[in-house]
Amino acid sequence: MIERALAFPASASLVGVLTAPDAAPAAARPAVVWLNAGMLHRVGPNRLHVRIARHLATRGITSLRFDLSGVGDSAPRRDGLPFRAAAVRDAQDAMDAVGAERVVLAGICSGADLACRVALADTRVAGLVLIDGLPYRTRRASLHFATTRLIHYGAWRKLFAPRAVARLMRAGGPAAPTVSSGLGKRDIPPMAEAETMLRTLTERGVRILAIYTEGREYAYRRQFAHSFPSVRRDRVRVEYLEGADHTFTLRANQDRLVRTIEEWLTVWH
Amino acid sequence: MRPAYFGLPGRELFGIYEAPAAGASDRGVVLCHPHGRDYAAAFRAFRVLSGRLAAAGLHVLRFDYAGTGDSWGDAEDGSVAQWTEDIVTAIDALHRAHGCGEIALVGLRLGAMLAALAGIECQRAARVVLWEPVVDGREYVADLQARHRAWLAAEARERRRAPALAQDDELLGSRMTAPMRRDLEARSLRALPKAPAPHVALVTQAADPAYDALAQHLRELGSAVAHARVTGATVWNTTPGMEQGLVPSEAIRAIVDAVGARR
Repeated sequence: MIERALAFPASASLVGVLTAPDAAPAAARPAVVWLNAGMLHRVGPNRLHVRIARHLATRGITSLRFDLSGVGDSAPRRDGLPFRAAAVRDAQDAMDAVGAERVVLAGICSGADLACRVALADTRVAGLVLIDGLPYRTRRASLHFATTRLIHYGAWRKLFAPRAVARLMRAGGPAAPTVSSGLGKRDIPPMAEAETMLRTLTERGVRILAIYTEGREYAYRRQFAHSFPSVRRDRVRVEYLEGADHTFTLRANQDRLVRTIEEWLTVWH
Repeated sequence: MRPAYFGLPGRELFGIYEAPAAGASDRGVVLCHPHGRDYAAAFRAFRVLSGRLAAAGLHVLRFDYAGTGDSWGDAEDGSVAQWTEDIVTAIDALHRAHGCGEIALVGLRLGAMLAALAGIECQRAARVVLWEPVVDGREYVADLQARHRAWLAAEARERRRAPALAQDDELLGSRMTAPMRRDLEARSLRALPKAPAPHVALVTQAADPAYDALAQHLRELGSAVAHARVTGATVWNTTPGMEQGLVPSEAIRAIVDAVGARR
């Protein structure tokens, strides 16, 4: 494995690290580009981007992790582009720096949301690894959260009070204890718009690995299919990692994530 | 700002160098990150601190220890001895590349403890700044363990099934092997055998008697000690989220003052 520190593009305002296999990667293999998870710098939550990049290098896959302008070690852009447009341009600069014809964009949380927007703007994107990306609560998910709360609060009596159940479903349960879901407010489009975006991408041939952790927004394996019924199933693989938290705090869940991504990537030809 | 790997082949450390704003200078400073959650939470504050120190006329190097960030190794490759050596490697790199004759070390939390140990090891630091230092390794580990348990309990309340039990060698997303834990538990800044530097600055928020005892101990070892008490945002011990963007301006000013002071 070879790792190189990069400053790019010409202005050298963006900082990244390229992780490459010792031998030149097979030309057909796409390179992976990791996008920031929220405000966390390029190493990712619990250093996940580093771990996965180094593991993928042993499988012959090159990865770049970098900081968007204004995040981590990267300087703010000087061209005055608004934040969303700047983030897309940054990601395109990163793809230029990797120099691969085909790229898989990967991101956790807001990184996944951004990956979709970049893919729409750039046909080099051949695949997406979306980790907790574009989460939309379906009715079944809301019911799941409400009943989970009831189980834990031991408030079985409330099950027989229909108004209480209705209220819980609207709210998704009583205010949760402070768990580090880290989600906060997400800049995601309305569900119908996200569905159109995913349909456009899959019809273009983009392959998607959508991974969801068990959290405040996602509750069951088929939630993706229920949220986006018109998206082509043959281009999307959904993995629901029940028991994993949003930032993969436990090692066992980090291992599950690494395996899931590796399996999906290594079948590419 | 220049990112680069440095150190021995196969054991390269990732660093970011910032040049002094005023041009020629023979003074350098190595920034020593905290560990684990603290590292992520304080990352932005370190970047801002780095910029202010460069603006004050210093060569600045901040870097990742072995097994952390972008540097070589897995979590289990880290140890107090390894990280202390990493700081000395960073001092050497700054000295070689930019001819810095006068070196200062600035560390936050566990990074402060490591900076003090590295100061003793290399006997070359003119100043060491201990920012909210971990004074007692045993208390630090116990606090992390308590936070980890609280996190697991909160997780269990969110789920139908209890989360997979964590291995006992992991703490809030970081690996903490038994030897590493025992090593940390045996360390205390109040038991330092030598002065880490002729000048030591303590920059703290909490009014903790442990800091006063530490200042006293450092004076007895022969260091000139200045203690700046500051208020403002806490950039360590936070849960992941928006607070990672916080920049503790008063603490940063106190650190720049302490490092920038001419003897």
